[in-house]
Amino acid sequence: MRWFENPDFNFLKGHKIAYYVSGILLVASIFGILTKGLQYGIDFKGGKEFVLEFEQPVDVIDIRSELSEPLDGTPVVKLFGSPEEVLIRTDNPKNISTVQSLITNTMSEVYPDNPASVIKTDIVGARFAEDLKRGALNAIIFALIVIFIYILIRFKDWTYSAGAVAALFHDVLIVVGVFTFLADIVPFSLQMDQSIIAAFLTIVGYSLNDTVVVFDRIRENSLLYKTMDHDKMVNRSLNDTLSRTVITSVTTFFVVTILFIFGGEVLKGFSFALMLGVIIGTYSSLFVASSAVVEIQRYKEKA
Amino acid sequence: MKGNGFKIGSIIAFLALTIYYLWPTVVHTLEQNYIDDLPEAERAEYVEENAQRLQELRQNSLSLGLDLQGGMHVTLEVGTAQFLKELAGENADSTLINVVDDAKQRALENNTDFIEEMVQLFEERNPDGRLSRYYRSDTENITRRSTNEEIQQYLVKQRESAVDRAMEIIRSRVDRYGVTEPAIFKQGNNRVVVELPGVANKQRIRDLLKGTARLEFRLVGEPDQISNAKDRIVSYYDQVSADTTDTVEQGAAQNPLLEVLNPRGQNPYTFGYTTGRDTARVNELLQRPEVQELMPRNIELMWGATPFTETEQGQELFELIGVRSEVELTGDVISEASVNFDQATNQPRVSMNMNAEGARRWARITGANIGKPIAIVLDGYVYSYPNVETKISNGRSSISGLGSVTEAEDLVNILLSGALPAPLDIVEERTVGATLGEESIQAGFYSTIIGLIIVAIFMMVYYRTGGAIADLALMLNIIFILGILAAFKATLTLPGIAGIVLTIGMAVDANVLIFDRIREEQRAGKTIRAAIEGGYSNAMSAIMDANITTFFVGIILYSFGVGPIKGFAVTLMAGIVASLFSAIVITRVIVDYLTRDKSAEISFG
Repeated sequence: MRWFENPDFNFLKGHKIAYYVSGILLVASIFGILTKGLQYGIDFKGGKEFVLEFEQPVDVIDIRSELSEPLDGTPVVKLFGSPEEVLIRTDNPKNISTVQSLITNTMSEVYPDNPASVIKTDIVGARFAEDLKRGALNAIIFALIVIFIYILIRFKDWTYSAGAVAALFHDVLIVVGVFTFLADIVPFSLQMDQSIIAAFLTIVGYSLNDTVVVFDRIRENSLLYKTMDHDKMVNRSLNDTLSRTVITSVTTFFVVTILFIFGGEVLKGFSFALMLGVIIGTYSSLFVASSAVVEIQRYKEKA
Repeated sequence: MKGNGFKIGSIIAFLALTIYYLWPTVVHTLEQNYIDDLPEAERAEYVEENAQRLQELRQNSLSLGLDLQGGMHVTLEVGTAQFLKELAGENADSTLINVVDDAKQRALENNTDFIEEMVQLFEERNPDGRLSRYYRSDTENITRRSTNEEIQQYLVKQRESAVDRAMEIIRSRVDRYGVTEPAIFKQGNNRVVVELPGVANKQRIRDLLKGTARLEFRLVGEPDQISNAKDRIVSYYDQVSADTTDTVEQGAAQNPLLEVLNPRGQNPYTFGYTTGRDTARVNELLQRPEVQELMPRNIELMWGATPFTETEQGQELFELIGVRSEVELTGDVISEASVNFDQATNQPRVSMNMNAEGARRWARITGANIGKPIAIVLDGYVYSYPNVETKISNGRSSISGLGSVTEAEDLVNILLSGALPAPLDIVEERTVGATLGEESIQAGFYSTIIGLIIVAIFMMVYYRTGGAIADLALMLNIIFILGILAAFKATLTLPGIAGIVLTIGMAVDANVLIFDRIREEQRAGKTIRAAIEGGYSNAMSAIMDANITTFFVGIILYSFGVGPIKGFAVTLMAGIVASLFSAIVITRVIVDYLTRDKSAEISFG
């Protein structure tokens, strides 16, 4: 089977449309992030989270109102994968054991015939959360710097570094934007936590993978076709690598979708971020990274 | 084919190593299944007979993270502020205490080192001041003339040793509790991470880890002193309520203290009693600075640890006891402790033996106070205050009034492990139940298998023979990843499994690059063998660049992440190494073998 045998798409023409698409997506994402704010999960905000497993399905709204009084404030209560499993998050400052027994005691009073057991707890102190947040931010910045330098060394041209990093910014920003818009709609958690940051860095790695393969081809072709117009050569390189870009994206998209479906509740947000990342990463290495390089070079020549 | 000797050799070596490292895991899994199938009666016997061998197998097996096998992950923070105050001991004055408290705030805001901030702040506020006013040590050669810089180094060193000591104490407590293969390690300069697989009783572990078990023997206050203080404080609140009733137009003024505290104690040493629920309100009323001034300097009020009686409605009543501020003897002198039962009440109690020095002092204290009670205080609560009947010269004592046998056992554990050098706070705790862990293993397993099948089919359909070869490499790749994890004693976590699944999708990338290249070369009219040669060599730089950058991302993830995320980073990196090897070396050997005859054809789709 062969897809894209000798393709000859005009990606440069596509670039113009891509500018609008990316522009709209970026503006919408930034708008979403600014108006709705980033939704931090327990890792970055601190708090206490308990997952209870009941024997029979339960009503989330009921649990929320029953717990509001004993916990001195309305807790966040959500289903955790199945109708019998419930996630309860509270900022109650009392010590962990006290809060846990407040919850379990209230539940056994309210549902005497539907016993629950605590199957998972996550407790993060506010200061510790602050440290985790700082660590995550540092990791992302550090990753982008390392990538910039590596590409600079390998391709000996800062415009490639800038193009690659711009594409990565583009990808992560849009994924974060989609997250903020979908957070309240989808039935699983899309809050920023450590595993989401790990997913972002993986997206960075993946999208970079795609981009570097294209850059590598541009470098090779620029030695092969010295007389060819630069734009044309970039377009040709994109076409040369198109089959590979699509095949790898397809196989990767397969596996992250499988993770999303079969990987369990704990990995839902993580694999969802990866699904988005594969789509946007593929799009950006075809339409954003190389065109960013072309634009930066054009700007540099003018200057 | 001729040039492939080295490649074949390295494949065999890599495979042999993988089998060597994974062997214990395989045997251990088989043993576990065998044991699970044994009838109940034979099981214990078999485990006992093979204990040594089973433990060795387990230690060499690929270990599962807490999120997969269930367990508890706790990060404890050593309270540096408290530690610095205590280290100064009696020298601590309000200047130092303020500096320490403000430095704590500053260190938090600026994310800087606490001790550094504290020294800097002290110097800002007292340009000519010397920290040697507060800190002295003969063994560390810290004297009156030591500079602030020397003191700073001394404090850093002391904190380090306090964290080390805390770690040792935690280790000994966990060992006594009996957890299989706990992991205890330091994080940063003031945190200790404790990982306890298979722990179910979280509450007990929390108390055990944090428990300071500060045991003190104190005399109780003079009855007159206690009752006089009580009168003064009650009349103070009479005054307060009289002043406020002007605005609240309701009948007779109620004394706010008497509302929650009954001042008639059962003996002359009690200040009063109340229900468990009202103790917090009483504390609040008594801790007001104006009220504190009415208390005699040498007396402190402490709650009894357990209720002394119950009301008819079943409410538990706690008494407030006036004990002397001076501590006669502390738990440091305890050399032995054990749980037994009080013959009169059949309640659990902890019996203790003191060392020679402690026994001597205990004899002196008891000898001088015959007929008077001595309070046994644990972490600020009075457990009992029995009357001294005779002089005790053999260094024995006991703690009664304990809630349960487990409480007594944990107390013995804590007493014997030693007191923590500074208070510990739980700043992070994550637990996963065993069933959830099992579900995660299943979810991970299914995802891996399904991912593998779908990608394998896709590759075969798209690249034909080439795809089949890549699939073979992919299978080996997964085994290699597990082998690398086992060899480096890394832990497999749920995100780690996600990393493996992701690798399945991305590992074929190298082969996709190569095969696409081969197709291109074929299109350019090259023979199959020239196309293969060109395909592999031309794809190499793209493969390397792409993988090295991803590997960097893996390293960064590893250094920032904790626990499960580290597991993801490890499998991601192991996956890159394994997939480079299998995609470049293994497929090449197979492809070369299939095209060993000049006429041979091999389809890349």
